[in-house]
Amino acid sequence: MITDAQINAMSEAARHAWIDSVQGDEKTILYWPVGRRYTMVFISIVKRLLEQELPIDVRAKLFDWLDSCGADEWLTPEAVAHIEPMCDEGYAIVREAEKLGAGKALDVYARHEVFSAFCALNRTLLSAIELCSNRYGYNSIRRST
Amino acid sequence: MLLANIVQSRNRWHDDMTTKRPKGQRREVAPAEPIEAGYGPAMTLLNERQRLFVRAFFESPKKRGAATFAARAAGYGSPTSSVQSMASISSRLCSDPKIQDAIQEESRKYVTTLGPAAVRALKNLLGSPAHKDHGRAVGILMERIAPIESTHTVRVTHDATPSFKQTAEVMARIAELAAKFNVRLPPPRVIDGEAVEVKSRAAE
Repeated sequence: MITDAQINAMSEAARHAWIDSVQGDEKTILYWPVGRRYTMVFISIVKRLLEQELPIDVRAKLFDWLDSCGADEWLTPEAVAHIEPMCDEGYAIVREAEKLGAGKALDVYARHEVFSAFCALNRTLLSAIELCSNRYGYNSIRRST
Repeated sequence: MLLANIVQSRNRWHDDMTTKRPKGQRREVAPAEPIEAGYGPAMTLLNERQRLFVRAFFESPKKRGAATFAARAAGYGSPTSSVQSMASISSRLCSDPKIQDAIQEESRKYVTTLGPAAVRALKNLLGSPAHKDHGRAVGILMERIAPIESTHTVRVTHDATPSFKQTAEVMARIAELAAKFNVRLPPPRVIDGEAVEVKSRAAE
């Protein structure tokens, strides 16, 4: 799996060549915006938390946040509903990333190789991207590139 | 039958009162029925010598060294025991929890029996208006007879309706969003308990 650091280190020609060569899931991840990547990771974290015992007010706030995600320009309520809660392995990655601080952790979630790992652990992230892409005709744009 | 008994006892009383008694001789008093002086639970746990110690402790004529006196009276030590050794024995006895319990038990009994004497003293005090503590005695008595009454009005208002309503609304919204976003909520907490059927009086 190629990393963000490797991508950044590529020359422009090499990057174009690599972008043209990527296929399947990797292509889906590549074309998905960075901000939406960590939002989707966060949705799966929140869904994991909601399955546990929580105070009512906290639970209500988390649900409100999920609702606001569904009203997003890119994410649809169907895609939010489609994402499964994060598994234990995924949550272990989250805990490691959180050691860097809240802001940096989001950047880490969005890194190509980290988000790919999340997608490998939770296939619903990829299918949710597909759901959103179909809505906005994003797939056709992606196919044409 | 009853009338005959009354007449008979009256005649006996009359004979007693009218019969001349020799000078210096006191009227014979019928022997009192033996009353079984039962010990309380704490006293029962003690042996005979310890019981004697406790009783002697209360009947000691001394204000100081009462415990030493009681120990000697109960038969502890020997006739040649020094005051120091008797003090040591009495100290050991007084620190025994069983004896302490017995002393407490006996103290309650003594206080109860001192009640009539206290009432008598109070009565005497009330009968002496010149006594400096006459006013206090009156005050104590009045406090017992007619204690000062005070009324407290405490108004507790529970207005839980808005809170309950809000909670219900929040719970409904959570359930709605959980269904919308496919979130499995944890099962509600179950409080373990045992159901006991209570029969109403009417059914009985």
